[in-house]
Amino acid sequence: MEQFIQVNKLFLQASQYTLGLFFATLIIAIPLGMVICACAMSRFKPLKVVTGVFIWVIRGTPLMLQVIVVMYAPGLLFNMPFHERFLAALIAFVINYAVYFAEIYRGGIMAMPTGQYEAAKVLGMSKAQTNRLIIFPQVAKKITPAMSNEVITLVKDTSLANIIGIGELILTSREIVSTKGILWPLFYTGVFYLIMIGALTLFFKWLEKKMNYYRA
Amino acid sequence: MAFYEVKNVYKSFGDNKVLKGIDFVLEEGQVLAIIGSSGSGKTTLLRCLNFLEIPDKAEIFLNGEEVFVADNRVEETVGESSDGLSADSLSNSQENSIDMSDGELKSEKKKKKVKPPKISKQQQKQIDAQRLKFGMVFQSFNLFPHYSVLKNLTLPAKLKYEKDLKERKKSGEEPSIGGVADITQRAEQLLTRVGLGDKFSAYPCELSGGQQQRVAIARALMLQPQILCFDEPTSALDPELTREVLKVIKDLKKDNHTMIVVTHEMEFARKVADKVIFMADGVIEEQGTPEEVFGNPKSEKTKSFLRESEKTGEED
Repeated sequence: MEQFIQVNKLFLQASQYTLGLFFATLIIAIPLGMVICACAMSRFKPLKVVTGVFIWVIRGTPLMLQVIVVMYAPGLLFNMPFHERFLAALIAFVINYAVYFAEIYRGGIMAMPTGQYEAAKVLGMSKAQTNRLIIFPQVAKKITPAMSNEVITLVKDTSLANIIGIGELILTSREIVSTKGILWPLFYTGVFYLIMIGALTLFFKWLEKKMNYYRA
Repeated sequence: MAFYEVKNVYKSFGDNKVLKGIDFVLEEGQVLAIIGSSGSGKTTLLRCLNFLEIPDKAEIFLNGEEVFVADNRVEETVGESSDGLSADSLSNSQENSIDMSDGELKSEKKKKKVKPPKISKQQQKQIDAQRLKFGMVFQSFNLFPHYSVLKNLTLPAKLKYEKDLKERKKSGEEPSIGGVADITQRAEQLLTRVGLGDKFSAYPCELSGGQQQRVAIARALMLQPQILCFDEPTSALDPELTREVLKVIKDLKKDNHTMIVVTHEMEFARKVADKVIFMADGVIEEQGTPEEVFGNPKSEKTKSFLRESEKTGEED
């Protein structure tokens, strides 16, 4: 029993890293995704091509590899080793998730019927007004299911940060397993993930309901 | 000079010449019905009049004022030997090409890659300034689904009001009286007028198609356009809902609204329009009063079109 309480204590401490990485990634990646989306949809060809290649690289390589690259590449290439492990993980997560968010935004914008743009145009709205008042609010509703999916994946992906020694849930449980010689804490991490994702699921259900005051 | 004068409207999409020289005039308070089979260019014409498409060439005047005068066509066939022929007459008539010398035919082939005409910034500015003189009602309504019926009307009006206010301040004029409360009141009046006095706070998805289209008409009227355009306003509606929408359009005629209606409703065109244009293959095949066009059509194309549309009318 004492052991159980101790494991819970250690896991709660580890959850700080998990949740910290989760929220920090979201807060930065959601707006950064908008910037990447704007670049990907830009009419300026070179910017569009460069962004396309960037998206391909980020989506085309494992997040775990990206974490390793951000952590070790500066040291190996420029002799400027990274000392902030958490920051390295955060940078990799932010870039990776911003790219995925950008693609979701782009899909939502492309799904908007041209009639909405035309109606705004004949009613004298500027491009900025059209985007701000007509397009983006509708896109926000369209992309909520896809975003909730991605955000839930992010919770579980934080476990990848254990590769560079960040003391999140999986790493903590593995340490317990090797130092105390008990196996159950590794499985017990699942309960922590389930609780976090359960809360997120409820939140997104509430959000979708809130946005359901109209049908498109 | 007529209230609304449209001359020489040309529009191509790539190599596809959709409008090949459209001319017509319209007096204030008149209703113009544009009929014709699919692909005849009638919707493109209406979209050009609204500047949803920029005509390649057109001269458009409203109330004696220039709305749009430009020729942005890429000169495809200006050979050295074609001194007698303007680019104009070459591009629009096929008979001329028979008379062309070999040299001209070659030069036409060389410059076959037609780029879409570029619109200068100044032209775009002029178009934006003129746009609100024309209202537009779409076939698919295009209401803003995330706003209430009332906000669909007030939002564009408020944005226009704010813009006007800014411009007045810039030029040092007194800001006009009225304002946001005024806008809401006018929106409510218009909605009541189209028979939706009890639907202010409803969302478009809660309305029938006919009701949505009536909201769209009220929304277009909010900005007080001088000419109201309808692009097949009842094509997405069943006969009963069609009737409510057409009734609203008839009511507007009584109030001296000038309107241009692209329609498949022959009965409506016959009864309500002051003037009918029958389009075929990008040109006006026939125009005149409804009596002339429907009662005594001169062109073979018009005759066969009217015969066909009567047949389908009977089948309904």
